[in-house]
Amino acid sequence: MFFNTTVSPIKLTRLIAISAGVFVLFVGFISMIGWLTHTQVLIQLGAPSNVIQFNTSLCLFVLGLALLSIFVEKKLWFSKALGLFVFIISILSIIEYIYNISLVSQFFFKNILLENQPDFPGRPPLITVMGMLLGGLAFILYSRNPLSILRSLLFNCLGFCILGIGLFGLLSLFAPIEASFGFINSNEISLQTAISFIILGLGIIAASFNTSFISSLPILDSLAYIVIFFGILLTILLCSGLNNYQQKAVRRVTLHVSTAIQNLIENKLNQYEKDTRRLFLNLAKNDFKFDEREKAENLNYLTDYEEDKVIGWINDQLKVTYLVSLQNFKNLIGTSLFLRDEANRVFFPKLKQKPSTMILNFDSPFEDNVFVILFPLFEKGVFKGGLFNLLDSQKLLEGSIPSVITDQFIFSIWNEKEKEMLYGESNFTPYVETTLLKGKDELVLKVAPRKKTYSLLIDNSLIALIFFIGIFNTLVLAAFVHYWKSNYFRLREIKQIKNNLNLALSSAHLGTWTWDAFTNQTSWDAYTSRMLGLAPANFKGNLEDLIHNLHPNDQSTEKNKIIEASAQQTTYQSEVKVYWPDHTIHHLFFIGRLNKEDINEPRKMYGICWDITAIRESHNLLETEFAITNVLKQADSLESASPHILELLCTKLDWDIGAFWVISEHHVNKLECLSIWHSSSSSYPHFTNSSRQLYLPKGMGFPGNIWAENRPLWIDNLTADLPQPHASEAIIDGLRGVFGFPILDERGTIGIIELYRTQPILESMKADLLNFSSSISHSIAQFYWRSKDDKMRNEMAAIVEFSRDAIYSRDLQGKIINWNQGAIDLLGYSVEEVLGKTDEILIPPDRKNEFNWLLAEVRSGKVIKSFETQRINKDGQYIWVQMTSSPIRDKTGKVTKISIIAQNIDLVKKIEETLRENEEKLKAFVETTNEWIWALDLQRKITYSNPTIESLLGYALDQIMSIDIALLIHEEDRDTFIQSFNDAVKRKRGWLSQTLRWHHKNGSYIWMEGNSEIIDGPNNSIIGFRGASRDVSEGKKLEKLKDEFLSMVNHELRTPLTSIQGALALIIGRFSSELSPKIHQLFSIALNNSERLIRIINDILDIQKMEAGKLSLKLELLNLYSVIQESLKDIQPFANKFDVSVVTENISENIVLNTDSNRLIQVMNNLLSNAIKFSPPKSQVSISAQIQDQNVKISIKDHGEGIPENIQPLIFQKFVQADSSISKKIAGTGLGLVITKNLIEQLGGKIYFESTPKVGTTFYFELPLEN
Amino acid sequence: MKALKKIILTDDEEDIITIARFSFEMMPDVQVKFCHSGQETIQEALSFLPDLILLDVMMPNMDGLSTLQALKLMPSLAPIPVVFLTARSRKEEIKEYKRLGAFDIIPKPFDPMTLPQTIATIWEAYQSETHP
Repeated sequence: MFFNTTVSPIKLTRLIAISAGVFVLFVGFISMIGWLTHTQVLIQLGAPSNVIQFNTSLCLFVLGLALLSIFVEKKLWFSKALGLFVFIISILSIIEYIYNISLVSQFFFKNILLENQPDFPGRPPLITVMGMLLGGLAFILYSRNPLSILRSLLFNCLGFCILGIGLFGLLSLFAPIEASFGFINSNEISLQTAISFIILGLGIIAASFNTSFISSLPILDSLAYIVIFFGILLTILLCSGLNNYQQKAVRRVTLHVSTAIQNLIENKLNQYEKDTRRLFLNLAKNDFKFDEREKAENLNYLTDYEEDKVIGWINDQLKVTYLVSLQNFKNLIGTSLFLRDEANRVFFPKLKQKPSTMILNFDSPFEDNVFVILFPLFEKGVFKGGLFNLLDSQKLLEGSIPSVITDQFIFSIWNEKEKEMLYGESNFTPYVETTLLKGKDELVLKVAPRKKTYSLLIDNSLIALIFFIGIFNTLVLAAFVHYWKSNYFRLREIKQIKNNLNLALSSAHLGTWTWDAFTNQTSWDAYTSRMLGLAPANFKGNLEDLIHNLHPNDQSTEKNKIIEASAQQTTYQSEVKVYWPDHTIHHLFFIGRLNKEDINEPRKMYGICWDITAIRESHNLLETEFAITNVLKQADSLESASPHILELLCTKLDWDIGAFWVISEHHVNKLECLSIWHSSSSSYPHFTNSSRQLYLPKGMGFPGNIWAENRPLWIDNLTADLPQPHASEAIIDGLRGVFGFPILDERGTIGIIELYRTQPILESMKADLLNFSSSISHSIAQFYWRSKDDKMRNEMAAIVEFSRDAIYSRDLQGKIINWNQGAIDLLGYSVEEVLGKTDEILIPPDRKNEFNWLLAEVRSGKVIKSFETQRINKDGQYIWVQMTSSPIRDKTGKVTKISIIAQNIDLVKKIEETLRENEEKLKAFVETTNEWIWALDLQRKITYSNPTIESLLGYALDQIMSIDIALLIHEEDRDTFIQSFNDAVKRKRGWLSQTLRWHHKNGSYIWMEGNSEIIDGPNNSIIGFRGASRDVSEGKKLEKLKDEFLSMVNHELRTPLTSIQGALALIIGRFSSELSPKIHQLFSIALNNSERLIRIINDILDIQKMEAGKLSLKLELLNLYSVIQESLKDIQPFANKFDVSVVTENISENIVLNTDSNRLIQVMNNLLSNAIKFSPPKSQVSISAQIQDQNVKISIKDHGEGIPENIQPLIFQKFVQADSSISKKIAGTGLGLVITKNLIEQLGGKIYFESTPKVGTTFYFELPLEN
Repeated sequence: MKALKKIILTDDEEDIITIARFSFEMMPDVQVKFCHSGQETIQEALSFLPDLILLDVMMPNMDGLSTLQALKLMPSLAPIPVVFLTARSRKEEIKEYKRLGAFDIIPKPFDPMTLPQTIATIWEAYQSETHP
C-alpha cells in the first residue's frame, strides 16, 4: 500500500503518534490559557460549542505530553507518572458526579480561576472523564519498550476506546444523541475535547504499532481492520438507537424566554384562550376516545386552523388519536401539550418536526423571568396530561400571587358548565406550579419525578456499558481474527511443506515408516505399502504387522535388528526381501533412526525405505552372466556346457526347468533337445520325455517359433494361451510361464533355450530377461562357433584329403607342397611324383601366358574363382578344369603360398557344346516360323518376340520390345485380353485359343489366335508368360460370312414361309369346302412341305450353332423323372396325331443328373418324335431308364419298321432317313439324329441303337450321374 | 372375367397380316387393329387401348423387344399384356422373352386355324393370373 520503501511502517506510526501528541498537547495548552486569561473564544470556540472545562484542558495537555514522552528512551517513568496524574483526576471527577460534590473541579474554579463563582461546578462532562480515564490508564500500562504482548494489545485497545469516545462525542454534538451517560447534571462534551480524543486515540494506536508485537503483525491486516471498523460502527448505531428510545421517556426542555413571548401572549391571548378551550373541550368531550367517525369530525375542527398542517393520529395506547403540530397553533406559542402514559411517565407526544421548533429562543431582556403555568388534564379524576404555558411574569406578578392568577386564569377560560364537563362534580383543584426564573434566560423544566430519573440513569449507564463492551468485543474479535489468520497461514504453510515433502518422497520413490519402541506401534505410508506389495494406503499397527510382510526368512532377524538398533540408539539399516502376493520377490532397503531431538527419552523410530529390486536383479543377472561365461570357458563342447548353463539360469533367475535345443545335425532343419535341467527336488516327467523325442521344424512348437522369429518369446501363462505342440506336456507337469530365446550371433542361429516356471511370467521380469538373453545368447553362440571351428578344422583336413576335386598348393616358386587324392585321380600323378616339383608340368604350352597372368593376380592377393582352363594330365591329355586359386598368407599377411582347387569339367564342356548347337537350330526354327512367338512379363511388357511379328503386324522388333502387349490389341478386344491376362496371373495358368483382333501398323487389323503358358520363377512364382499366336483372319472372315448367311436364312426364309404356311393352312382349314378333292390334296402337299422346310431350317440352325461351339449349356441338378414327364407332356399332341401311345417303364424317381434341362428335353423330344413317327398307329413307344455304373441309360423303344442294315451306319450323318417314302409321309428333316447325337455328346454322354427290321428300333443314350 | 374385346396385331409382313386377318374373322366379338411397325403400334395403342397386343419380333427400325420396352414405359400401356409372334420359339428363347416382359409367345409360323383358340387360351391364362 502506501507504506512503500520511502517510509517504513515503524517510522510512519511513530510520526503519527508524535504528531497526535503535539496536537493534544497544544489543544490542552491553548484552552488552559483561555481559562487563565478568561478569553472565552479559546475555551468555547464560538457560540454553538460547549465550553471545555479546565480539568479537561489540563488533562489533555498532560496526555499529549505523555504520548510524546513514551518516545523518549529511558524516560518511561515520566509518561507513567503523567498517566497516573490524569487517571487520578478522572477518578476524582467520577466521584464528584456520583456524590454530586465538588472536589478537584471546584478547587480549581474556586481558588484559581473564578473566585466569584462559588457555585460553579466546573466538572467536565462524564464522557470526557471517561476518555481521560482511559488515556491515563493507557500510559500507566505503557511500562517498557518493547511491550509485552498483553500490554501491547491493551495499549492498542485503549487507543481504540479513546478514538471511539472521541467519535461518539463528536457525533453527539451534531446528531440527536445523548452523550451525558444519564447524568443530568453532566454537560455535553466540547468540540475540541472530542477532536482531541480522536487524535489521541489515533496517536495511541499508532504508538502501539511501534511496539514489537504489534509491529510484527501485518500493519494492514484488512480483515481485522474491517472488523474493527464495523464493530465500532455497529456499537455507535446500537447506542444511538437505545439513546433515541430513551428520549421518548425523558426530555429536558430548555426554554429561552424573552419579551417576544410576552407580546405574543398578550396579543394572542384571546385567541389562545379560545383555542385551548376548544382543544380541551374536544378532548374531554370525546373522553380521549375517537372512533373513525369522530376522527373525521376532529379533522373538521382542525380544518378551522390549517387543514394541510395536520400531522396525524398517534399513540392509540393512550387513546389520543390526533395531534397537530405546534405550527398549527401558531397562535398558541408558549404552550405545549404533554401526556401521561400508562407507566405514569409524562412525555411530549412526538411530533414529526424536531423538538427544537418547540423551543423558542429569545434574547431575554428580563430581569425577572416568566411564569410557567401547568394545566393538568384529568379524565374522571385520573391525571392524563396537560398543557404547560409560559406567561409573562411581570404581568402576572402585578396581580395576586399564583393562586389568584390561577383562579382568574383558569376560570376565565372555562365557564361553569364547561368546568363540569371537564372535571365532573369532583372537587377540583387545578395543579399549578409556577417557577420564577431570575437573572437567567434558561428554564429547565423537569416533568418526570425524581425517582423516575434515577431509573433513567440506569438506562443511560447501560448504553455506556454496551458501548464499551462493544468496543472491547470488537477489539478482542479483531485480535482473534488476526491471530486466527496468522495461525491459518502458518498451518497452511506447514501443510504446504508437508505436501512438498510427500511429493519429494514419492518422486524419489521413498516410503516412510515409524515405530514406537514403547507402545510397539508402527505406521507407514501408502508408498511403503506399495513397496510391500499391499494396496497403497496408510497403515497403522504394531511392529509385527510390518515384519509380517517381509520374506519369511528375514522376519525374525529383521525384528531383532530393529529392536537392537533402538536399544543401542543406533541407526537401523537393512536390506530385506519382500514376498509379494503375486509371488515376486522384491528387495527393499530400510533405514530408521530414533528421534534424538525429543526432550523425553528417545523412543520413536522414524525411517524411510526404498525399492532396490531393480539393482538387486541386475546384479543377479550380471552374476549369472559371469557364471555362464565361466562355464563356457571351462567346457569343451556345447553338449557338456549346456546342462550347467541351464542349471545356472534356472537357479539364479527363478525358473523351474530349462531345455536347450540345438539345430539337429541328423535331422535337416529341425531342432532337437540337447539337454534338460531341473532341480533334483522336483520332476517334470511328461515334459522331459516328450522334449527328448521331439524334432521341431521352424515354426513348430515354442522353440520352433523362436527359431522362426529369431527373437526371444514368452507365453505369460500357458493355460491362458494356445498350448504349443510340446507345451501340452508342460501344462500336465504344472508349468505355466515360459520364456525362450534364440542362441545366435551374426553367423546365424545355433539353438534355442527355453525356460519354464510353475508360476506365470511377471511383466517385471521381461525387460531384464530380454537384455540378458541377448548377451548370454551371444556368448554361447561364440563358444559354439569356437568349438565348432576346432571340430571343423579337423574335418576340413579330411574333406580336403578325400575331395573329388583336385586340391593342391604350391609356393610362390611353383613347388607343389600338398597334393590330395582328387589331384591324383584327375591329373594322374602320385604324391611322390609331384611333391617338390614345380607345377609347370601341368600347364599346356598354349596357356603359359594365361597361367602367368593368373599367378600374378593371386600373388597380389586376389582370389580367382571358377576360372575355366585346361590342364595336362600325366598321360598328356588335355582336360577342361574349373579352377579356383587363392593366396595363402602367413601371420604377417604376406602371400607365401597359393592354393588351387581344380574341378573336372570336361563332361560339362561337351554337353555345353551340344546344347549350343541345339539352341541354334531352335533359334533358326523360331525365327522362321509363321507363328508369332513371344514372351511377356507380369506387366504385360513384351520381353521376347520372334521376327514374325514384322510380317504379321508390320512392326519392327525393336518397336514392340518392352511395350505393353495390350496396346497392339484392338480397342474392343483389349479389355477381354487384360481380364484373361489377369486371370491367368491369378490362376498361374496360361490361356488357350484366344482369338483377338490385333492392330496392323498400316491401321488395319488382323485376327490372331494365341495360346500361352507360364514362365516359372523361383519359389513357385511366375515371372511371365510365353506363347505363340497365328493369323486366323481368313477363317474369321469366312465365319462371319456364314453367320450373316444363317441369320438371313433364319429370318428371310422363315418370314415368307410363315405366310405360305399360313395361307395354306387357311385354305385347308377354312376354305376346304370350296376346294375340289384334287386341289385339296395338292394344297395339303404344299402345306406339309412348307412345314418340313421350316423344320429343316430350325435343325440347320441348331447344327450350325453346335459346330460353331455357340451352343451354351446351362448345367443344373435335375430329376430325370420330372424331365421325362415334361418331355412326355410336350410330345403328347404329336403322339396323338399319330395315334401312338407313349409309356414309361421302370423309371426311378430318384435319379439326379447334372445337366441342361432344355437340351435334355430336346434330345428326348427328338428321339420320341422319331419313334412316334416311325411307329404304326395304335402301337406303343416305351421309355425306360436304368442306372449303369456311373451312368444312367435311357432307352426309347418303338415298334416301327426298323432301320435297314445298310443305312444303320449312316443315320447319325446329315440328311439320312431310312425310307424316302416314309419321309414324304411324315416330313422329317434328316437332321434330328445328328443334332441329338451332338447334344448328348456335349452333355457328356453317348448314343447308340439296336434295330430289327419289322420289329422295331430302340435308341439308347447314356448320361453321367451326379455323384 | 373380362372379355377380350380389342387386339392390336403388329407385323411388318403384309402377307402375314392378311392371313391373321382371315384368322380373326373367326373371332367376330374381337376388334382387331393391324399395325406394320413398332411406332405405329404405340401410336395406335395410345388411342385404341387394346386388351392384348400381338407383336412380331423381327421388324425393321423398331423391333418387337424395343416396342415392348417402350410400351412398358408408358403408364397407360404398361399393364397391357404383350404376346410375341416369333420364329424363335425354343424354350429358352421363350423364357428370355418372358423375362423381358412378354406375357407369352405364339410361335411362327402360326396355324391360322388355331390362332383364335391360342389367343383365347392366353387371355384366359392372363385373366387368371391377374384376377385369380
